[in-house]
Amino acid sequence: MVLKIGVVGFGKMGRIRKATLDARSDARVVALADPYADMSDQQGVSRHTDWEKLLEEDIDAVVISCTNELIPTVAVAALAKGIHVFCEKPPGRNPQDVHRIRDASLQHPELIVKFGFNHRYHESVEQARRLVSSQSLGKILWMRGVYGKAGGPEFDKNWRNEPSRSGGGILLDQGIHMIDLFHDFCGTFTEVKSFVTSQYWNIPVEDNAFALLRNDEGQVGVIHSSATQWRHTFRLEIFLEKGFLTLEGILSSTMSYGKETLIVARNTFDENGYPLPNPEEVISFFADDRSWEKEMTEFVTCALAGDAIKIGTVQQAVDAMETVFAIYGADKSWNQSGECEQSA
Amino acid sequence: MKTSVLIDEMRLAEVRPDQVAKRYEELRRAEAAHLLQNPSTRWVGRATPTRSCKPGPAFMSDGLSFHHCPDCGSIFASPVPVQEELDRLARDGEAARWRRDYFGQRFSEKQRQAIHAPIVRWAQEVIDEYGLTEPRTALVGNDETGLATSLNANGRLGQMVLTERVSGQPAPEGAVEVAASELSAAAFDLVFDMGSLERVADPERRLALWSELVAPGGFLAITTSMASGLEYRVLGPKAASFIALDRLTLYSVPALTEQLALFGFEVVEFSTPGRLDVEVLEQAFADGAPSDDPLDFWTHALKHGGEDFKTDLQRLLQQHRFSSFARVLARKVG
Repeated sequence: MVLKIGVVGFGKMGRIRKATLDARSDARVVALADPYADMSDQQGVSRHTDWEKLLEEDIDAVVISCTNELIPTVAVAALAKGIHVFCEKPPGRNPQDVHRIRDASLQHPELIVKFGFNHRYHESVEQARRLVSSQSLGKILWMRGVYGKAGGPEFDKNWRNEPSRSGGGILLDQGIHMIDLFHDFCGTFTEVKSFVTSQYWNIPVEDNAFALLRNDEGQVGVIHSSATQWRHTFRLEIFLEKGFLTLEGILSSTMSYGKETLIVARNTFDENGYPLPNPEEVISFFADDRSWEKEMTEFVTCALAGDAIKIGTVQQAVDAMETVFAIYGADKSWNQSGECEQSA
Repeated sequence: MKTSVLIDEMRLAEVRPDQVAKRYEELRRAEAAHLLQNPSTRWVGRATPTRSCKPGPAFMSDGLSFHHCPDCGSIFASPVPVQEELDRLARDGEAARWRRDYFGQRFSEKQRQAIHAPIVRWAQEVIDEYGLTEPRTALVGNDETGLATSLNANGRLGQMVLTERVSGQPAPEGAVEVAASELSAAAFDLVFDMGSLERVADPERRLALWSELVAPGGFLAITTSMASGLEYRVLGPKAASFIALDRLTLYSVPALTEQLALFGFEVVEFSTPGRLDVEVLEQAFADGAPSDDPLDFWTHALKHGGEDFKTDLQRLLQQHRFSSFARVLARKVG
């Protein structure tokens, strides 16, 4: 069987999703919808300006790659029509948005809903996860994550920085990946402290967020999400009882975050059992970014087989969104300024 | 696919001591000469190492004719002695007997550690990273050094099976010997093929065997010499380790990846550990080989570059998989 798919939103992400699906034999993109994008180069598929028309087509699944404010409305409408849903991250503008999708999903347990937390599929992350799961390095003590970029051309004019459309700034748009990885390794956090700032860009959402997170097991995560990181950076340090892992750089289409690497260090100990400093590090490089392909493989195969998905679940999306807004809420000065609009 | 930089895994003096290498080299070259002079030796012509390789310009080494693929850089001999001839040498040949005697009588614990520790660490990594529980394991190669005993020492491997041994020596502690023909399909979760691909008459047949014996989702761990590495690209057949009978096929990185894919394996790691390239080049230049050019860059750089340069060079080679020795981990698809 071939899964017939519609793609709502045909910007950069919509094109990546379609190209990934076009390479598959068990899925076929049959319809596209975007009110603004030039789709004239897309032959052999029906093209719409109105996403509601796309949902009237004979499709089994929809990929929602549109702007954040539309995500819950499209997702809920698709589920009501018996259509499987794949949503980009962030899963809406705020927790209420993702709760709407969750509630609709609960009404249709036979349908797949998956969110695009593709970083979990990067090879460095997969290998780090395997190492942590093996417990050969002991239990995680703490993590420190930095994910940042230099804004970009016309960053201050981008819809991603309009609160009514995006719901938040750099933390919600990019930092949510790092938060999702924190959850992947340590589960969710119950205590949050933060500073959320908008210092450089003239935008009504944050351009930097700094947060301290702690879970019930006492594991601490430190995150810095930045739109003033002039040198593009992805770095996740995971320190465990018997060593550490450092994920540095992540493969992307622009390669601007550098080569994807994983450093693994296993502690050595002195004669009295005390850890010696600066253990030997083994650095590994990863050549391929197959995250988009793996992500779509899980979505398509689960939709065809009726299996439950494991990565990008509704609960993971809810957890990530709630942590983002817990970070916003933990900085009273940010909240009191009213700059972070939480419209439903 | 990951590539690990493992700069301190191997030192030339430990894994290839000079007096050992030179004597073995003499005996092995004498065996090649004997095969060539003996009219009863049976030879077989060979296809290119991969479907996409081209039979490029030839060169001679130890009397054997080698070809070089102009596209990917793979090097292969053709014709080669039939496998039975190679097995006979491995069983009864002077070089093999000398090696067995050396490793049996004069092999120090330090040397054993130097050769085994990186492989044991690698096995541990694979078991940890992929959550293997007592994997059913096979080992080919490194018979004489007792690698099976070292691999079994931590008790994390399942039954260790040695296949296709020809040495005639008893199986080392912790292992049983079973002919490949007696094994059922998908018999193993983890196969270590240590340096055999470059030595067999038909490496494709060897990969086909592993494809049959490795269970879906299981792993094939290979060590092999690489044609794309600095040692062979600079020194060519003048490289001390280029002993014709032991280097019948030298894959390039893309060629080996292609071959593994052909037999249903997805490469998950391709690393070129150690610092042998730099040390081998340095040694070769110290011995007066091979460049006649007084302005040769490599001679100059290795003489004047200092330790930092040598380490950085080897690290760069490893990062870009241009070292002459590789470890490859491939997962059986399915």
